[in-house]
Amino acid sequence: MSAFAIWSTFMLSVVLIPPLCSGLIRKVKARLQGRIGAPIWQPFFELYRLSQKRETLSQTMCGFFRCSTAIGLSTTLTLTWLLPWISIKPWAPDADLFLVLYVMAFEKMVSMLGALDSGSPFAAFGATRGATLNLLVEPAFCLALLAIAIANGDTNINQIFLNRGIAGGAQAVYFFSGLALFFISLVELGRMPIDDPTTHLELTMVHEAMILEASAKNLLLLEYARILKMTLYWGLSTQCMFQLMPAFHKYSGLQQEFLSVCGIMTMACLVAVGESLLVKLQWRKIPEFAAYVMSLSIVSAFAALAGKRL
Amino acid sequence: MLATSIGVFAWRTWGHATTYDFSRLIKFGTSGLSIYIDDLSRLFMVLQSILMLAIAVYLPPYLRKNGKSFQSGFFWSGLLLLLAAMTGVLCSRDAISFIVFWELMSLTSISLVAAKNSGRSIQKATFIYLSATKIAGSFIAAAFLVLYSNTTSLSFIDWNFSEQRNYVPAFLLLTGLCIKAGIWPFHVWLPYAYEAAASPISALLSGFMSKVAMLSAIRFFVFGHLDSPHLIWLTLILGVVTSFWGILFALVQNNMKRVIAYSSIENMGLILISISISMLAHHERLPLIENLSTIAAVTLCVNHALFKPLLFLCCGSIFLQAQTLELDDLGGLAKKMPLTAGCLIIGSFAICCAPFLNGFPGKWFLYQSLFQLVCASTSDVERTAFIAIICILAAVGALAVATFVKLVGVACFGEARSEAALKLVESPREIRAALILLAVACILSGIFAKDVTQILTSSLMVSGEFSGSANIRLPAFTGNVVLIGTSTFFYLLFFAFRGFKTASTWNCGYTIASPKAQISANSFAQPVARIFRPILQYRNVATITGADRKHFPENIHVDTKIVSILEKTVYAPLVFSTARAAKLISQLQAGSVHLYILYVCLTLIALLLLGGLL
Repeated sequence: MSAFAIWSTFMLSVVLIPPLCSGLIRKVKARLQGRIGAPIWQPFFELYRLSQKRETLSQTMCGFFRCSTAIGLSTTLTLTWLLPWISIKPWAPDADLFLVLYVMAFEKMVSMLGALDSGSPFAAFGATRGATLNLLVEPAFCLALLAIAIANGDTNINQIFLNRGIAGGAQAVYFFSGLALFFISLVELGRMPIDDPTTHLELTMVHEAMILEASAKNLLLLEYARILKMTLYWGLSTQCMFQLMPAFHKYSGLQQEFLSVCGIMTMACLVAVGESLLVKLQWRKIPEFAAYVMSLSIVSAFAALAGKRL
Repeated sequence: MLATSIGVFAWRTWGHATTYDFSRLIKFGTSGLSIYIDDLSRLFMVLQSILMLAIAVYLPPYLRKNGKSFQSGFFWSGLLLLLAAMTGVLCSRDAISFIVFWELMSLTSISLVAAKNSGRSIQKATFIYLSATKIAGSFIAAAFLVLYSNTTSLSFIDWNFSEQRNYVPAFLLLTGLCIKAGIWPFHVWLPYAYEAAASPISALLSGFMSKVAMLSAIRFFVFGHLDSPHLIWLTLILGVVTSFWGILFALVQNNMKRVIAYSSIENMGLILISISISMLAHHERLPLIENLSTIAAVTLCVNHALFKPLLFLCCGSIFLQAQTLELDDLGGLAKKMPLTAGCLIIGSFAICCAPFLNGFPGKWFLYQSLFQLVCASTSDVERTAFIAIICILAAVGALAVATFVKLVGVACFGEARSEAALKLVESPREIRAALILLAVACILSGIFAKDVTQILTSSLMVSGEFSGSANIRLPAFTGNVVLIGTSTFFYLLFFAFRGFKTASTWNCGYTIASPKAQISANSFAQPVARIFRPILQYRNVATITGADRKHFPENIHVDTKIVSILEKTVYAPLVFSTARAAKLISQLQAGSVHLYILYVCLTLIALLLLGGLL
């Protein structure tokens, strides 16, 4: 593929996949509930509508909030370069695993501070819950990626996923890490069973509460950053799963890209089905859920250690 | 001025290791004062001069405003003496000058903590600090004595910690240094002292004095090749516990200075982890990892010495205006003191390792050396342990994010929670200048992290004990450009030239509630504190009174209580029993001549008996 084709494919994926993914979830959920539902490109219209609106800000805000939404989206965009979420990437910088960890932490910190800027108690509750969830899954996230890094003896995760031909023992590592990353994404993105993104009950929500004061362009940036982050997580998880298929690396670039997109969409469907069937966990049960995720990561890490030994 | 001249001197003489022999001029007992300056101490002298410059600019308005509670002459002389003493500790190469400067440093810092002559809490803090320092000093002195008897030399060069007979003094020395640096379980003095001291002093203590202890540890144990696996693992475990414990307690504190003080404990823990990994790598003959983690330790020291003082000075600036640092009395600072709030935010981002600020490089080196140890190590138990440490560090990072979101969010954002916070104005020019100086230092040393690392590496190389280069490829720079560039772009595109309406914050459709309805410091920490309630001894009791109390409460009272488990179960009984023992012994001294004559007789008889026996 020419450089131009690679760049345009990547840019198109960044712009198109997240809204389509979000539209697909809504469509599947609607169908499962017996409704026809909005078309899957509905999120594009919504984002466009938000871009045309005029902002309303809280009197209490000091200007940090507006910066925080811009920083939040650009941090997520930085992550699209740093993470191997899709097969075609025009440029892979030194994407170190620990760098990714702290870029993500920075993004969360900025969004929590943005939530606190308005002085709204609801947003603040959302932020403190967000901080708690972050604490619960951060070790699991770190360990899931670390296991892959150990199996490859390298912390540059872009490089790791470009590596062809993995040792036999490493397949278990990819499987369990991919699984763990998928469950971590549910916690990080505030989806079921951790948080219901469609309720509008200020007292229980996490992410929705944090963006309570956002409107128009602010909301556009926040929403887009969020669905992009969702795609990144699921893309990462998909790439882990593709490492299980030895045939994957034999395909051409475009075929790989197509498969990756299909993988992300499959995850979206899975989440939609899950959200239709599950009920929200009680807040006090969430540490238990985090413990299950952590144990998946631990299994993966032990598999990595065992593979190292062989 | 003095600080700057020391800095300039250090800069001009870069690249050599020099010994200045003052032994003919000044004598401590039998040995003379000799000062040995190498690049590592020069580097820290430069750092010290930046810090002192900031504090020197900062102090005059601070003292003017707090004129009643400080004597400025005493304050300045104490500060200069402390500066000299710290430089002395950094540069001394034999036991006697080390001890002299160490004690000088301790005593001046204690008197500076006590300089704020008001209130019992300061007396208590000073007393706790005094006793901790004295105990530390005695441990170090004991270690030096044993080392002298082992090697018959007082010079540090002759002490080799890879010999078995030097393990016991190494342990003593380590304990002494740990007490001074505030490592768990000896950290209890630290929050008291930092809270009680004036903010510039806390900045100096946390930013530099604790580093002096850690640098001494690097000099003794890393350059001296401590080779006892038991001690190394002990250090590693202490470091891990310290960092987790420190940040957990930081999260539940409600006073800004206490939050920052506890987070200093966490940072000390991180430095100790890097030091012990360096020793461990040496023990396992992995020179690349040894170098990497030594760089990690020094980088963490340097960067912590920039952002922690920044945070403390921000606290001071807030205290000057609001006369309180209780988070529940603050709020809305960002509108009234934009510069102070901005610097507080930068400092908080730095401490949470935002990749373009200076907190990140050190942490990255630490993670990287742990990871390489996992790959290189041969024992499964060790590898599992290192993986566990990486996970704990990730959790510590997440807790740090929660802590500093709470600190900044409650203090700077929202509405003012008390009358005092309502009438704030920005601090005077000098204070702002000092804050900007440190904030810029944080940003520059974060963006040019590679160059800073280069300087550090070269200084470590000149300091001797550094063989070969470490495998460093700090990954942050390109990402930084993308990040900063795109955020500016989005800001310009969407917000910079656009108008907006304002309205009051959403309150479920009710009218504007009282500012007290905002989240409090306690409630922000509650979900995490609940998870860790066994460690924190966290209790949250709500009492609701009223006729039909479920639906029409008249009075709701919520009480949150956190007990420092270590103080309650270890230190309080220890202090109590010591006091009782002292009382018992003091009965011997009854003030009666008859009794004393009896003692003399008994001693004589005992001596006679002993003479007969031997």
